[in-house]
Amino acid sequence: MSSLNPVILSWEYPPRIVGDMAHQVEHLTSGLNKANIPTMIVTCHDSPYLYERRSSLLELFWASNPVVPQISVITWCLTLNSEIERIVADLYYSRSGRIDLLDVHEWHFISAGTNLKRALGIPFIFTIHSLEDQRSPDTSSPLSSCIKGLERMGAKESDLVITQSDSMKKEIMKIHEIPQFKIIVVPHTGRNWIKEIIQSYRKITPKKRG
Amino acid sequence: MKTPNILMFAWEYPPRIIGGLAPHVYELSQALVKKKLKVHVATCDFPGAEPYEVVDGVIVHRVDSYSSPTPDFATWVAMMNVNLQREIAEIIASNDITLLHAHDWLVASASIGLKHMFRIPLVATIHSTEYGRRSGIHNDYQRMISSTEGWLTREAWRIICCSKYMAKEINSTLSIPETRIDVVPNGINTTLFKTQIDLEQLRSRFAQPDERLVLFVGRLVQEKGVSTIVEAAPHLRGLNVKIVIVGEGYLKEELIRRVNELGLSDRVFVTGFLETETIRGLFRVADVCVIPSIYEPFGIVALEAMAGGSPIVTTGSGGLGEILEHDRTATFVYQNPESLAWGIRKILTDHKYAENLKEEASKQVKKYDWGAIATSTISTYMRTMLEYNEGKWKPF
Repeated sequence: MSSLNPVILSWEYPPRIVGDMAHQVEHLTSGLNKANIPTMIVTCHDSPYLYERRSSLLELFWASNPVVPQISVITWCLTLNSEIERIVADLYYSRSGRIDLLDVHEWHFISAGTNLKRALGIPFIFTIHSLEDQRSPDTSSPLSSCIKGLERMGAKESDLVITQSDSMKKEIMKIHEIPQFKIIVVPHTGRNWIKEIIQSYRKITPKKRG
Repeated sequence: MKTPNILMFAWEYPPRIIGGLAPHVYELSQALVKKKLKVHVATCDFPGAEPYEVVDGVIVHRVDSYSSPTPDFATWVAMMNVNLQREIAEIIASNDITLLHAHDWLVASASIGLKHMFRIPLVATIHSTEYGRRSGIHNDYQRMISSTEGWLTREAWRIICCSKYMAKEINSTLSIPETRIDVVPNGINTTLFKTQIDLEQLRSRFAQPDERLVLFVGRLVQEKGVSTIVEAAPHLRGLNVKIVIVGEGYLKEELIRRVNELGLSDRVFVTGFLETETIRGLFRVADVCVIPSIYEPFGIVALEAMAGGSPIVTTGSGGLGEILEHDRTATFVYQNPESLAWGIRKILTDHKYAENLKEEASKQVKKYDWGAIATSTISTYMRTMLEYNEGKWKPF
């Protein structure tokens, strides 16, 4: 079977733990590594180090915000996205284009996922853990509306959406108006979940440009 | 070496005109095309304007600038950059763009992201700094904008600014070495000041035939020093003058109140907004143009007065001191009412002196022709491309 080189974009990854997503992404990278798939994580941190090799199959790249201070989570995220783009582009060029796909977790780095796909032809998956409509007490606020706009962009621009339950799938279809076939349900508690993730990864890699 | 194909980022471009950046990018892009460069402009959408059009050879891409509500202006800027970057990524991918040129902090994140993804060098023009606009940095919102300016200037291969004064300001406030900065002044299209209009009729809208017309054009804000003109008016006794203050800004009501308080409502006319054509006409009929700025990165109004043939009284602050020369192209005064009144009086009472200033100014303004400005800008582009081509930072 041909090799697979995924890059995962996540705004949290241990030791930066904001919610449960950090653990879920760590669970994913551990599963991928057990299946002998080398994995690169691009995440954010304020610590001075930029690169960490945790094992022969797991590399971490840390992005810090080029603009300080910030006035909202949106401005914080979106300037950080340019830095994420820089890191992924540097990886892409230094490894002769050997990035097969991006797996973007949640809305924070959707702009980077979209732009890297459009600029470099790297296909991307949007993994949705939860939706702004479920999290925010006031989904009509301007801030929530920006986040929903980014979620919608991710749902439309991605090659595939992965989520963890049928109810989430229905919610995504209803809120973001994307077709059923574009969403795959992979509960991370399932026995074959990592195989299904890898199958999903392989499904979109032929869309890589060039 | 072949000239590069340019993609400029500007958040305003005609017909979307917020300030001076739109006409600057418009004129510069046109002048570059006349010098055989291929130029794209990526900008925000505007009601009634085409999303894609070719304007005298300049390829304009207008992108959905995000019309949903946002909590504040900076968040709108961030969302606008998301849309700009997404749409322009495809344009760069399908066109032979070899150099990016960003104008001001508002397009920083889109242009920086695209620079890295395509590995195309980036040049940035800093038209003014947050520090200069706000007379310092006073809160986190301003600090964030200033930090974005710092980010853009660090990421840019070379930085263009309009005056030596601005180069020093960028150096001191953003910690950018002056060796990375090229001073390219703003330009002016002097032919726009020669159109056939009824100047007598225009003048009669603002002053009686026997009144001498003293003109101020600019934003009515503290940094332009406009209050000093009103305070100078009582010192002009014995001269039959009409002071015409053109522009909008937060000081407008205060100026009108002060004019009434001084009993000068028949001598000072605060017009508010006027059409561009009318303003150009005023520069042609004014007996003196007053530029009492406290902070001025460049001073495009000086070029307009020179092109219109109006003798200038100025404080010579910032970039004005580089465009103008005392007793040669303008009368330099201190930033106080007595000194300003002295300068106005000198021009209005010494006809030969005023004529000499006008004559020399009309010669000097030719240096600011957009063709010359385009040539200087191309030098920056060529230097950037030469260094880029000699370096290793390229796609495989």
